[in-house]
Amino acid sequence: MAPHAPQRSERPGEAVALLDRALFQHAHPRVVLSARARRFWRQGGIELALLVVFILAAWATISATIPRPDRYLPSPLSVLLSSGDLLWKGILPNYLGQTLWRLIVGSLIGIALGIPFGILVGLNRHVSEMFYPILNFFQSISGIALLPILMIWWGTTEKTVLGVILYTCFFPIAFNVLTGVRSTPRIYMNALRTLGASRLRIVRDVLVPGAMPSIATGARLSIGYAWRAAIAGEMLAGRRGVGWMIFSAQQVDETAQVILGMALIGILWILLDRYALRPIESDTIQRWGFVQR
Amino acid sequence: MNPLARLSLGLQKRFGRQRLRRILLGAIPFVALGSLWQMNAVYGWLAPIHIPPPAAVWGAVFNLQDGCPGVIDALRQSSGCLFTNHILSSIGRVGLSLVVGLPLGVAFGVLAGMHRRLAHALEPVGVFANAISGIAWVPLAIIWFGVGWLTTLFILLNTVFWLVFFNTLLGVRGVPRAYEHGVLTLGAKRWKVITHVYIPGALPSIVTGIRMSMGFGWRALIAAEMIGGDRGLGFMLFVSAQEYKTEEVFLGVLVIAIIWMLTDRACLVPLERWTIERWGLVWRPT
Amino acid sequence: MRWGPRVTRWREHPTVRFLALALALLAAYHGYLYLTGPSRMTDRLRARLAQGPTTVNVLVTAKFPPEEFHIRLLQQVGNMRGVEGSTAKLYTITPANVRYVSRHYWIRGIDLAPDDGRK
Repeated sequence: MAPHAPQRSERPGEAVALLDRALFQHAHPRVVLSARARRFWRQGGIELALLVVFILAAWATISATIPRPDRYLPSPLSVLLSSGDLLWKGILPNYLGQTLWRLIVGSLIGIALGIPFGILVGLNRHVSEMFYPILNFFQSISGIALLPILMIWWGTTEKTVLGVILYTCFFPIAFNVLTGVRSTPRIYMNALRTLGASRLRIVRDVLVPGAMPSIATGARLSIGYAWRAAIAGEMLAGRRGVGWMIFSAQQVDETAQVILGMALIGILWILLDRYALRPIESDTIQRWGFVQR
Repeated sequence: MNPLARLSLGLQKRFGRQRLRRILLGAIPFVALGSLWQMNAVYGWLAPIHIPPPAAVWGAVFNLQDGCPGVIDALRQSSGCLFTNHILSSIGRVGLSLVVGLPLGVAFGVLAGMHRRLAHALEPVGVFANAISGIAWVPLAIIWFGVGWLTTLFILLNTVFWLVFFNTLLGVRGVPRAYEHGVLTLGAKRWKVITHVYIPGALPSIVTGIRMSMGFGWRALIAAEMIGGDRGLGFMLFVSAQEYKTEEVFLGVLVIAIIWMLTDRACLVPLERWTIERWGLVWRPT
Repeated sequence: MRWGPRVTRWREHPTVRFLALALALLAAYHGYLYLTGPSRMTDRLRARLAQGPTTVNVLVTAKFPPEEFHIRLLQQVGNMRGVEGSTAKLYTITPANVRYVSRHYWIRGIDLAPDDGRK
């Protein structure tokens, strides 16, 4: 193989060239890899695979040596079996669906409310400076802290959890949109005004595109917060879902289900963030980012 | 000049005109909200169980502190002073987790970041650990430690550690190798490399990590206290909600907001300003 | 027709692909459940449902002894009158709800209760 691993460089093309050279230094290359395999090797994929194997092995060893493993740390195998069991009994898809449903509905409404609010408040300098501290204040009250109040008002209904998700989701995106609108360079607005544009035209053609990167970033932040709020809301308000699953499993000492739930939460967030939210954000910044300073 | 004009001029000179304008403007929504709240108490639009009168919220402080002999006993967390007990518990846990979790996170992050391949491999681990939000750890922590202060401390430590670790890892990895090589060629030992190259170079990420971990950690602490705690602000909120004592819940929420705003504005933003903005490592538009 | 770079880029966008894949999987999953629903009802039950009654009494057999989750779900659509082994007795359930229950894959079969007809 290559005599020494190539250094990670900023530009992928350069690194691939380095790797090419390292691998094909000899007259007869011993290994011919596809582009995907080369990327895997270059970005430390082998290390990651080894690390995962090591972690699983350590986990299995620890759980085999402690007393009462099924209470304190079930082995990876039992977690897998428990997931199979829950799938077989149709419990897992139902709970997953409910949590995702709450997340989607709550965050969509929150974002749909937050974007117009941010734009409206950001239009005027005085209005935005007026609202900034109180938005800050309400953002420091996390949705979780609001949950007891909502539970007094609305009991342990679906409305409570949706309310928490909505509240948690609203402020990050309102803030981000506000900042985005405020930081659009005035020169663009002035240019349009000299060309005789109406206020609405300015909003549509300068402020909304200028706020697009902030909207994308704010949406990603909001959905992240909303995800956490959904899990916490389910645990506290007792609505069925993944959060409720791990909470009730803890009460009957089904640790395998708890660990399964935690792994699911992590995997779902990673999937959502990496494949749905981050591409939108980077794409929006690529496309509209030139408006920013 | 009449005294009002002189006062106004004096204030403007002291605080700055724009700053004064911003403070006054920013206070308007608070005043409006406060007066709406008081009017609700007087006219009774919504029942007191939904929105308690401000006087009841203020009175709840004294109700909770009833049976508290004095300031010394309050600081010693004797059993009568419920209000200060809860506040001190929560803040104490935050302080403890800062003292323990921060150095651990930075140390592990620097160690992991130093070796490039290891950093590459550990990055997904950090991503995954952060993706399992702090609150999802609560049931597991309850199974391991039972309901109590150890669970809440664990949750907070966990959140702080992983965030600081991950951010430090990214920061150290982003330090250009030229600096490290330069210091090594000048004959520095490994320790000097760490303190003179890695930590200053990764400082923006570390400070960002501290700020993020405080934010997420505080939220996770409140949630953990609600679910699996026996003391603290979250616990107070939850118990009061179960007893339908809305004024105590409102009081708790206000205290949480005030503590976070104070921490953020008085500790964290100045920390950022003092370390990274001063050293020019971050550009902030004025 | 404009086949410019913008149109192709939109279709190849990772988020669009991810969401399309997720939606396709979801549609396939629900489609499968929908299509296999009637196969879980016995002929007797189907004949009875064809008569268009307001409510029926059924015996729901799961592939395992039903747990709290399943009992809760069944209770939301009808009167639960006891569980024997893997079979739950569900009374006064509307035909629409019978079809809804039949679309769960953990159900082995739904049969008409022997004492159907008595309100």
